[in-house]
This record gives sequence, structure tokens and C-alpha cells, in this order.
Amino acid sequence: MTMMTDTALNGSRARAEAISRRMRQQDRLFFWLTWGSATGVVLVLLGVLVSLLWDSLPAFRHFGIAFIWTERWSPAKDIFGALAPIYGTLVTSAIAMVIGVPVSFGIAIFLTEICPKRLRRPIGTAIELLAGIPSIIYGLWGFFVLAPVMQQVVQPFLINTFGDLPGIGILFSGAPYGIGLLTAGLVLAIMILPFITSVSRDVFNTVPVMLRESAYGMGMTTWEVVRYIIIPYTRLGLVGGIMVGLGRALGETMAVTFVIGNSHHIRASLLSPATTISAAIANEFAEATSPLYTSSLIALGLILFFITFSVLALAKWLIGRTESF
Amino acid sequence: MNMPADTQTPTHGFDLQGQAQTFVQGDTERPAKVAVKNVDFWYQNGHHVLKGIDLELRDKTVTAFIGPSGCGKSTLLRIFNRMYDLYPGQKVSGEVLLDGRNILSPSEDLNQLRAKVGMVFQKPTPFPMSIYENIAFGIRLYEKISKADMNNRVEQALRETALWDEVKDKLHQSGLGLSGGQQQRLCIARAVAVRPEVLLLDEPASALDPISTAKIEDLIIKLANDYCIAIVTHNMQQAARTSLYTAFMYLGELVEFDKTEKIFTAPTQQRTNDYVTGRFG
Amino acid sequence: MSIASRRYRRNRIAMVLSAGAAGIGLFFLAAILWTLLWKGLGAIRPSIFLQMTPPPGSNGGLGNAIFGSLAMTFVSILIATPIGILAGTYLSEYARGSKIGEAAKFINDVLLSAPSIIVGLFVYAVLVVPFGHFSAWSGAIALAVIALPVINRTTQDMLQLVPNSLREATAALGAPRWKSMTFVIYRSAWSGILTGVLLAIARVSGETAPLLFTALNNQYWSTDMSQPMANLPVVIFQFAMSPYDDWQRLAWGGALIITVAILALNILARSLSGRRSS
Repeated sequence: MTMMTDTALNGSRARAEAISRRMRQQDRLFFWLTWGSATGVVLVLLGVLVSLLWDSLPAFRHFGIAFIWTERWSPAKDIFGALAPIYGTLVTSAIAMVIGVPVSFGIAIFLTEICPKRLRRPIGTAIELLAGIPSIIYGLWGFFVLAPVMQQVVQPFLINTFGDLPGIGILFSGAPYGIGLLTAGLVLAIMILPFITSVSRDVFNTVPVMLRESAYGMGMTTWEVVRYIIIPYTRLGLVGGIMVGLGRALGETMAVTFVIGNSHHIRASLLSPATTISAAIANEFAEATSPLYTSSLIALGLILFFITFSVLALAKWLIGRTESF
Repeated sequence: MNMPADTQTPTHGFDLQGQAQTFVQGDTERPAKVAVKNVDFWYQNGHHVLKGIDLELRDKTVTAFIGPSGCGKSTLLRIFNRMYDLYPGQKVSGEVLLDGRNILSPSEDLNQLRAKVGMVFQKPTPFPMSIYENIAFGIRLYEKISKADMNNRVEQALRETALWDEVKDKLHQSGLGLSGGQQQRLCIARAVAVRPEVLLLDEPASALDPISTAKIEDLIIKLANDYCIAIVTHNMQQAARTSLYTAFMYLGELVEFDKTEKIFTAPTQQRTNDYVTGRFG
Repeated sequence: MSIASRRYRRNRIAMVLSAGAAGIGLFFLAAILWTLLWKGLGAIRPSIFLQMTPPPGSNGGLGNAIFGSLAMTFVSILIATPIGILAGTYLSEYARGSKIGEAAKFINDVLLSAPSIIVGLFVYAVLVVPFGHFSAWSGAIALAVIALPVINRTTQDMLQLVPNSLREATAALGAPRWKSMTFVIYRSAWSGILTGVLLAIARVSGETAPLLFTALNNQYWSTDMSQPMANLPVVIFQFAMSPYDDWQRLAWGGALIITVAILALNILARSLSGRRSS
């Protein structure tokens, strides 16, 4: 360097200046590209929200807020109410949670505590593959395989066993159609297994090895370690996992559309056909003839969006709280 | 206090493991390359980690920074190439002059600065590419040269770091396949390949085994022929073996800065004495 | 019964129940796959890939639907991948820890978990209504909206795994940020990001709901993206719900094809990410 003549030094300095100027420009360009993309994602969500709000306005203008608790749904008379789909969405998801959550926890316990190391990966992968199967396949399978089994075996059994009991009997009354709330809930339960299982497994694995070992060291059985150490330790994370599954169940469309029965009447029996928000949109949107009909279906979509959003926000908050321990 | 013979400061030239040393650090007083003037530094959380640091790094000389963990020596090193700028919220005051120009000025071009002030980190950081590309990457940033010239530059950098014979047959294999010591020498080769003026070494041997460490130390001594080198180390033997000047830092302050020999044999400060004799830290 | 034996019995029951839960999960996976093979294998012959969807009562295949699914998936991934990776880069590299960054991450997660049928409604409103007709473009864009947050999220997660020392090391050479990203950081994270893209492909290629009122369906061979286009999921839906035997057979054949393809993608993605972690 010191041997360079002054002119050569100036030349190389000018070249370095030019190179760094170009670098700064490229860096700015790169920054704005990434910024623009991230902003694009935000705008897409805003767009979803605005378009749903805008297009559901006619329905809310026409029916008022009472739209939400009106059961009547009559395309012929252009009268629409969201109660039946909301009810169906909540009940099918509740059934899915009642069945899916304990089974998912069981699988997660099995995979973290009992399963021989050798089998952990293959079994874990197999369960996670359930998440990869497209929802339309669940619908097909639910309609052609599960629904007949429900109709011929499960539902008659439920009706005979519980149908006459006071109180809960009403949940299991009526004819066995095969399709309906219970079948839809069952299909959803299978679909959410892998999601809840994988979150639970992850939070179970956050339990410090020391804690686990000292519990075993006291002579606790595996079940006692799970019951008194692992579950209390991971409580919030588990609830977060449940919320993830719930979010899935609430928004699921195709699997439910096949097996829900598409009826806008609310009946107490879990065996009766019903509808959910997403199934109503999937079934009716393409055929919606009047603007009010379309707007009412979009208003259903808006309600669904708010429900799933609240569940997600709650899940984030809960999972965030476990991580901050 | 008696220092073992082999830790004497290298004021009289080296003869380490049979290597012929052409130069002798400190046979003449070198001009100052970097001048640190009254530098203070605060972390994002407001923590005041450097307080009123004043010192000079001489050209073609190794300056070692020692002191207990958290004393601010690494932080100081990361000011010389403005590495702290990668993280928002950190604050610096004072001046750092590189050849008389204040590099802390907001108008300083960081990329150019860092091309002039190379750095090697505690853990080896080979890029996920071939050994050849690891070195060529930095050169290509600022120079447009022919394939043949590039081959020469890569070979030269690898020879400078005594890595050439070990890797010449696998230049196009991934740099991640090398041993830890080789990876670290590759990182040094990568840093010198761009012909920097200053070389910052942040505990370059602390993650390595003793043999690799010895090789890195030899390398540092050799590189002092050409570069102004600043090394942060926990290992006092290493500081004594490689450096001509040593700065002892404690709790964000520069306690003592002098010829290495003096720091290790006749420090003026009690704290320095306690630290170099292993009484604390 | 002694306390000890009661504890052991309770333990045994719990263990049996949780093993049973795993059994239930595996049983349903097996049952679904077995049904698909049993009902779908018979429909798999060369003609299913070559011929077009038939009117009821005649022979045909799913050629146009398979093409349509491939085309729309391809276009959607082509749109979503660069935007998703760049957005993930912004969130992980430029906005890490900042309030705006956290908000944008949350918004991405909202989009990720939004029911896909709502995405269909959105694209219907902004692309189908203004142009006055259904089109493969709108279908592809609906799928892109679904793939985008998946790729964005995986990119964030994978970039977060790249050690900071690598960013510092690249910066220390005087490399500008974009060079550091493209030559070093993306390279370290590529298998993870690719996994995310593969998972996004798997996710969108099975999506039905958002296509119902965007791409719709088309009985004929069409390569015109501005027209309605057949696609496997919607054809499966339509044919399965029909009363015609040969349509139902084709539906099962299509279901088998799409499931095998998607599971293969999943396994590929998994083996890629497994290789990274080992």
C-alpha cells in the first residue's frame, strides 16, 4: 500500500467510493423489497377484513345486529339469520374438542414418556401425517365410511342406551341419519389430533430433565410424574395447544360440508343434521341468487373470522406466557 | 514475581518452533494506526460498559486486551469496526481515529470501514460454501479480478495462514468439513485475503485445542509483520506470547496500558498485578 | 389393597389408555389410507391422467383437473415464495424485537390461521366480481394467499436459527446486508426454507374451499388462466357428491392421487428438515 503512487491511491479510493455507493443503493433496494413484502402481508389481511366488512354491510343494514341471533334462513323469502350456522360451528367444535383433546394428550404422553425410543420417530411422524391429509379426503372418508358406520352401529346404540334417560336423552334422540353434528364433530376430532398432539409434545419436552428425573427419583410412577409434574408445569402451553386445535376445528370447511347435512334448523339432538358457517358458505355461495343472500353468507364469514381470530389471540397469549417462564 | 522464561514478552524477536522470523515486533517504535480518544459506550438497556477509554494501537504490532469477563474488552474491539451498529439502541461517544479519520462519525461508510478493519471471532464462522469461495467471497466484494489472479490471492491467503498444504487438494469442498482449528485459520485467511489494515481477533483460540491454539498464536505473531492487530484474550500466556502492548481492563475502565513486558512483570496498578498473578478474575 | 399396588394399578391404567390413544390415531390414519387404496386403486389407469373429465355415464379421466391443480399450485407458489421469503427476511432481520415487527408477525399468524374459505370469499370479492367471471388466476391467487403466511413464518423461524456470529462475520468483511443475506444467510437456512415451501405446496394443493368460487371448475381441457379451470379438489368434491357411479369412482381415484402426492411432499419436507437437524 505504501508503495502506491498518489495517483494510484486516489484512483483506488475513487473506485472504492463507487463500489460502496452501489452497495448502499443495492442495500436500500433490498431493504425496501423486504419491507414491501412484509407490508404486503399486512395489506392482504387488511384487505380480507375490509372486503368482508364491506360486503357484509347490506346484510347487517337489512337485518341489524339481530342477524347474529336469528335462526330463520329462508333463501326463497330473502330472510337470513346466522344463529343456526353459529350454533353448528360451536357444537361441532365442542364435540371435536371433547373427543380430540384427551386422545391428543394421550398420544403426547405416550410419545414422550412411554414409547420406546426406536418407535418414537415413526409413530410421531405417522400421527403428524394425519395433518398432511387434505380436508376433502376427511370429508370423503367421513361421508362414505364413517357416516354409514355411525348410522348403522353407533347412533342406534347411543339412541338405545341414552335416548330414554332424562336430561341428556334429548342429545341422543331422533332417527339415525348417519350425518349430522356428531359425525362432523368426530371427523373434526380426528383432524385436530395431530395439531394438539404436536403442540403438547413440544411443551412436554420443555419440562427440564432435572425436574423429571428428580420426580422419578422420588419413586413416582410414570403416571404420577405426568399428572403431578408435567401437566401442571406445562398447563398454559397445553391450553395454547387446545386453542390451536380449536381454531382449526372452527374454520374447517370441506370435511364438515360432506357430513353435516346442511340444515338451517337448530335441534337439540347431536344426531340431527345441521350446518356450520363454513359449510353454509361452501354449499350455498355459488348458488346465492340475491345480493342479500350473498351478503348474508359473507357476513357469516366475517363472524367466523372474528371467532377464529379471538381463539388465535387467546392461544398466542397463553403460549407466550409459558415461554416467558 | 517471577515469570517463566517462555512467557517473556517478545521484544527480542521470536524463534518459535523453528520458524524463521524475519521481523521483530517493536524493534522500532511504529506509528499509531488507531487512536482511541475518550470513548464511552452504553448498551441498549443503558448499561455503561466503557468509560473514558484512551489508547493507541500501533501499526504492525500486536496489542492484547485482557481483563475479567464483562470488563468491556470485546465491546471495545467491536467499536473499531463499528460492529455494534448491527444492533439498534447502542450508544457511543468519543473518537476513534483510523489514520487520523474519526470512524465513529455518522457519515462513515461501514462497509468500507469493515473491509479495512477485519475481524475474527471466538467461534469459527466458516460460510456455508467451499473453502475457495469462503476466501474469494470477501475479495470479490471490492475487487474485480481475473480467475488466475483470484486463484493466486486465495492461495496466498491460505499460505499466509499456513493452511495451504492442508487444504490445497480440497479447495472446492465445503469449509464446514474442516476441523475447528482449520476453520479458524480459514476465517483468519478470509480476513487477511481482503488486505485489511487492522485485524481484530476476539478470543480467536478460546474454542480450540492446545495444538490448534499454538498454531493460531504462531500465525498472529507472523501476521504482525503486516497488520495492526488487536487481540482480546482470556489467556494471559497468550497475551504475553503474542503481544507487544497489553491493555488491562476492569469494569469498563482501562486500568493500565503499557508494554506487555511491563504489564506482566512490573505493573504500576495493584489491580493489574492481582489479575496477572491470578489473584482474581 | 395397599397404597403401592393401587398406585401401580392406576399407573398401568393410565399407560394403557395413552397407548390406546396412540393406537386410535394410528388406526384412523390406517383406515383413511386403506379406504383410499381400496376405493381409488381401481380407478388408477393411464386414462385417468390422459382423458378429460367426462359427462355422467361415459368414460373419462382427470387429465384437465390434474393439469389445473398443477398449474394453479405452480403459479401460487411462484407468487408466494419470493414475497414470503422477503417478508420473512424483513421480520427476522430488520424488525426483530421491534414493536412493528411483533405486530406484523402476529398479523401473519392471523392470516396463517384464517379459515381458507374466508380467503376464497376475499379473492372472490376483489378478483372475481370486478372481472365478472371466475378464473384460474383468481384461484391461483387465493392459493398464494394461503401459501404466503406459511412461507413467511418458516422463513422467519429458519433465519432465526442462523447464528448471529455468521451475520457478524459477513459484515466484518465489509459485505453489504443484501450480499450477506443472499450469499451466506439464505445458504445456511436453505433446507429449512425449502421445507417451508414444500409444506406450503402440500397445503395448497389439497385446498378445496378457496377454489369453489374462484377457479370454479371446467369440464374441458383449458390452459387459459383467465378462464375457469378444473382442479382436483373441486372435481373430487363435485363427483363424490354426485349420484353417478363412474363419477364417484373417478373421485376416489383423484383422492388417492392427491393424497399420495401430498404425503410424499410431506415426507420429503420432513426428511429435508431431519437432515438439517442431524
